[in-house]
Amino acid sequence: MSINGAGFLLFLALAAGAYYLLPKKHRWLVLLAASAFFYLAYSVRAGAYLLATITLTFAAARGMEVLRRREREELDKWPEDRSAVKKRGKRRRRMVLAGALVLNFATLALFKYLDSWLGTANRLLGLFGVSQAFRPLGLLLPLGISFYIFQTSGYLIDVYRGRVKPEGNFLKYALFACWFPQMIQGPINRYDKLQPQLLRGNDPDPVKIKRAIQLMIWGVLKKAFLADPLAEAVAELFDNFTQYQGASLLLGSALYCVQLYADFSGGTDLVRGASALFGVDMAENFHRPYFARSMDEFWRRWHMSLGEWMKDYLFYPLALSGPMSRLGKRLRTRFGPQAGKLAAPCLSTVVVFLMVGLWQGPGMSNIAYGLWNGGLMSLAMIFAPWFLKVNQRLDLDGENLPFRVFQSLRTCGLVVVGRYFSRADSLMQALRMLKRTVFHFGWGSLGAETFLSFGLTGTDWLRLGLAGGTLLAVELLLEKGVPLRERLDQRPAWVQFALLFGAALLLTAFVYLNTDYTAIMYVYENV
Amino acid sequence: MEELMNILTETCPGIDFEGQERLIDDGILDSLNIVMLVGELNEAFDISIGAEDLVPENFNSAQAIYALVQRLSDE
Amino acid sequence: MSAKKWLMMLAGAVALALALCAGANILIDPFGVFGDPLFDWYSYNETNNPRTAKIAWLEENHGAYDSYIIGSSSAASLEARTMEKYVEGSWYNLFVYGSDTRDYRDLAAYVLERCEVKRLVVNLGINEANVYDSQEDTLNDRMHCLASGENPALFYLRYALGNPRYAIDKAAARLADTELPQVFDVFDVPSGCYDKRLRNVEKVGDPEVYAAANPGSFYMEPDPDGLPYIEACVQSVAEIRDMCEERGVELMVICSPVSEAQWSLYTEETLRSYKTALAREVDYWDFSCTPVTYDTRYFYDATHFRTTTGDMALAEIFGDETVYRPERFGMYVTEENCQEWLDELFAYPPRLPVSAYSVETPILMYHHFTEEPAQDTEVSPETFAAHMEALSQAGYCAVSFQEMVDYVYRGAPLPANPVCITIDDGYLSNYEIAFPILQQYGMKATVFAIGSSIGHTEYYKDTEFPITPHFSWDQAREMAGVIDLQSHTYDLHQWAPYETGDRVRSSILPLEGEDEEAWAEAVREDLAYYDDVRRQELGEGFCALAYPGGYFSPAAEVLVHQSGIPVTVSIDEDSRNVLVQGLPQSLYALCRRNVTERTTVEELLRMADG
Repeated sequence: MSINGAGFLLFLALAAGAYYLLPKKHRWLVLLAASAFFYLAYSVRAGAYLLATITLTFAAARGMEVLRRREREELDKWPEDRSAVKKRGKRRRRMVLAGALVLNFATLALFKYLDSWLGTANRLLGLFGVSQAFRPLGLLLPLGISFYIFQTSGYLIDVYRGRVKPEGNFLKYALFACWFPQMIQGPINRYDKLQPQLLRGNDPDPVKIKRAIQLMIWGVLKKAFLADPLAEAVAELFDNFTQYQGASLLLGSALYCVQLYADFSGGTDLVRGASALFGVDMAENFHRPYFARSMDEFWRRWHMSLGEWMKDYLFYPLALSGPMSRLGKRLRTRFGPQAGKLAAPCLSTVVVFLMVGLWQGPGMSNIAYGLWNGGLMSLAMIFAPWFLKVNQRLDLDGENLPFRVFQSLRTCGLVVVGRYFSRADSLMQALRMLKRTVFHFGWGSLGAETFLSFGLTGTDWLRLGLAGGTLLAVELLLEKGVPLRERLDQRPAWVQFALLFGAALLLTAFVYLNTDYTAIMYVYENV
Repeated sequence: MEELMNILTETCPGIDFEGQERLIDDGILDSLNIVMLVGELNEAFDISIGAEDLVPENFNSAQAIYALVQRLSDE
Repeated sequence: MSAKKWLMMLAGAVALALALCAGANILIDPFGVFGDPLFDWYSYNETNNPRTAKIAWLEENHGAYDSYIIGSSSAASLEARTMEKYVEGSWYNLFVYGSDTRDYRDLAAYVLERCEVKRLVVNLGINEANVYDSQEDTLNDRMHCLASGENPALFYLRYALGNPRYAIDKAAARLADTELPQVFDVFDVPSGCYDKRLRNVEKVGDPEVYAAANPGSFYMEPDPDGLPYIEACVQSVAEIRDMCEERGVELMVICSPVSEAQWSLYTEETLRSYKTALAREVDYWDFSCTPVTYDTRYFYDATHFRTTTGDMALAEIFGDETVYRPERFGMYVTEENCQEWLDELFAYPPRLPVSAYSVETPILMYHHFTEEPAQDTEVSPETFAAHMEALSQAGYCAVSFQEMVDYVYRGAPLPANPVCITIDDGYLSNYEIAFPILQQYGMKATVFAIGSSIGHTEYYKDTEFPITPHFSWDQAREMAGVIDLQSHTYDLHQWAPYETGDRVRSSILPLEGEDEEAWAEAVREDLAYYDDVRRQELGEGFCALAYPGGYFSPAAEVLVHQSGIPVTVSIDEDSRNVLVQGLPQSLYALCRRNVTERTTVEELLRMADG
């Protein structure tokens, strides 16, 4: 079921109706049934894979719980050996956790990376005269696998750390793992935040439903009027980059940034709205990222649920690990305290972004994308004191508007360059495109014809300008702290009705009744 | 507590720890600060703050950090 | 405002938006299912979806018809008006593009049920045995609920809540609509046929030029599956036969002409089994493999035969001897003679040599004759005499346009080595100089005379501007038999400096910014008036027209041929005139070679050679 079709709206309406009609105690069952229906309608086989992951992680969490109970019993038995018992308990739990995580990520690797890696291996072996040593498996990539693997893994680590009490009811746990709105492209939810909302049996709250619908409308508008119209032009530029001047390619990457944001945030708005219809707030994913003043800030405002996940479950454990602190100490004695302090965070940052890159895909270009981001952020950490000094020397007020705009634009520029890597099909393509951008920029070609050369007509630009301008204006106001939704609530009824009617007309005429329009798959759908 | 405050201000210059109750929630203390801070604290108090201790409740204020250090020193 | 109220407002807004879309769909009605209240534009609706719009048309107008043709787009070349020529009654061509025999059965059931039917023609090609029930589920090819039996409420709801783009497109097309068909309105509504006015003025002649102009049109992907739906197709035809018998309706099944590209896709065995299975159920006229099969010029593309090819088939069926058709063209097949007929067909395929029905006829162009030629349009009497002598001695035979028309339309023979000599404008020198020389050498020529200047020897029309003298109607009558007078238009070759009005028609094309309708009217008027004049002066109307200045357009071609003139002549020199029997288009926009004083005899003979 496409979440952009009228069928999804019908599904939501039926599910929400059933949810609110049932007694509070049983409402969560509706959510589970709806989620199961949604997923099985996509693919029964993928449903089997999902069920396997749910069973594995459920069992592992139960296992850790059993071990914890045994540890408590042992503590009662031998209170004098407290630390030894604790250590032993922790080691056992760690074994379970490690086993489960390895299986979990092996599943992900099997579906998502194995074929690509086999292909690489074949090519390498081909150099030595071995042809087609491995046959690709051609497995169906289960919908949302990147999201549910991460979400269940986070849950396991939380259980291990004792932050959450594991769920004892398999069905309730299954609901957490397969809650349908998160299956298309996240967000990656945290157990302690999501689970209570799913289970508590929410009552219909008109205010909440209103906000939910507003969010959904906004999401579909972004997808249908900005992301999808841009997709084809971006594809044209990236697929046939040799036919375009550098300026067009730079524009293409910038357009891709807009497309990706409208696509990813639009889709997230839609599913967060869908979830909120049932009174369930999912994690936020975006906080107007293109206003970020540094790469570090950008990554705290872009795909936030992944960033948070990476921070809590990868960055901290890595940065605080034994080897890291030993490395820090060694560097401290060699190169001074600053080097010692920065070693762990910089190195961990690079590793984290390598993973973020790999999360997007298995190719070298994804690794390069990760290195680009991780590298930039490490450099920023290393040179932070120096930047501070320069600013002081130049007497720059870090908070004045032009400087803030400069910082935001600089960040956007770095993101645009990074997108060469994440959009290109291969590392070579990204590098060749960058080379063209630098050495064949084609200043002379900068004119109207450049903008009309890759499939967008004047009218298309006008429409895109209108859509993009609206989005920018709204985000600017929100960034300035203007409470737009609340302001809107206070406008006269006819103004609100006119807006609603406008949105409804756009959505019916150009999206839901428009059989020529089929939403393009979300960029991060099925990664 | 005094020693702690010294370490805090030294590791994270420019951050005012006095009277702050939402260092993490408001994003004043970022992950880089935390990692550097934890390194210093581990060193100074000979404790081992692990990833599982890195929850907002433990770092939202100087008081909370102090409590964390106390607790881990006791173990 | 409370959130509850907001939610109700939302419901209202959505309902209103839906109502607006539905309103547009109903009022503009791009598929003609709601009676098209605003535009009443069936040609557009039928182009969008003939399955809905034609039935909607019949619901309103079936009283006007008593005979129907059923088929897919190739059946469009069986024209209702040609049927009416042979069979008393009024015909409607209910063909539907992209349809298959399942649709035929549904449509037949519909007309037999809801209309007064006396006769039904079902046209079958090869494709009918290749697809069955292939209808897709889009608004463009959904069958009207009256024929499909679909729940009407669902049917109308589907169209009311259809994609609003169709309504927007229709409104936009309305603004761009013209008198002649465009891609969005290709139907001639009263007859149900395609409006082929423009399509059928496309020149056809030189086979190489035709192939180059239609690249890929006569290539078909190999079809290894054979004809998988022979049984379903024959079964549908049998059901139609039963329905007709039940109601006493006369049924005729026609297997229409098939191109070689399509015919050769299938094995003899496959084709035989199709033909045999069909003959077991019904008698049918079979034109699928005839001499025209082997010449692409009788087809628009590999799966569509030309209107004129359809006319030939109907002439064969109804025994019209005035219409050309080759030997072995068509067979009335019954279960009894089927095997014999197929044996002969496959043993001796009816392929003809091209020269048997096609000939190249070069046309030479002169203008004025004078002792002292100064321009390229002037030739001296000596040179002209030398030219005529050379042609006659080389064995060329001068032909008139009427002879060419007879050759193409009726299959009348044309002399060997035909050449056509034309002289433009109608100067007195044609009478004084060319006429005797032509007589001397036993040649004949055609003069394209400007009607308004015939008989003017001194002044341009009724002005004081002196002109080269033109011969008179009396002189024209005197020249008859040697020099044939044909049309250069009556007054569409005006000479700007001498005209007094502000609108000068120097060619047949519209004036700048002229309304299409007004232009067409002016041209029709000129053609009709001149034709009348010729009838009065010479007893007959025109059969050829040379475009003033050589300028013309497809629309002009439509107007000229509609006025009843079968031949048009340009001054293009770049292609060959290849006349094809049975193809009126081979007489359209004929090319000419300009002859000047400097043209040597050798050059002339090369021109006459084509």
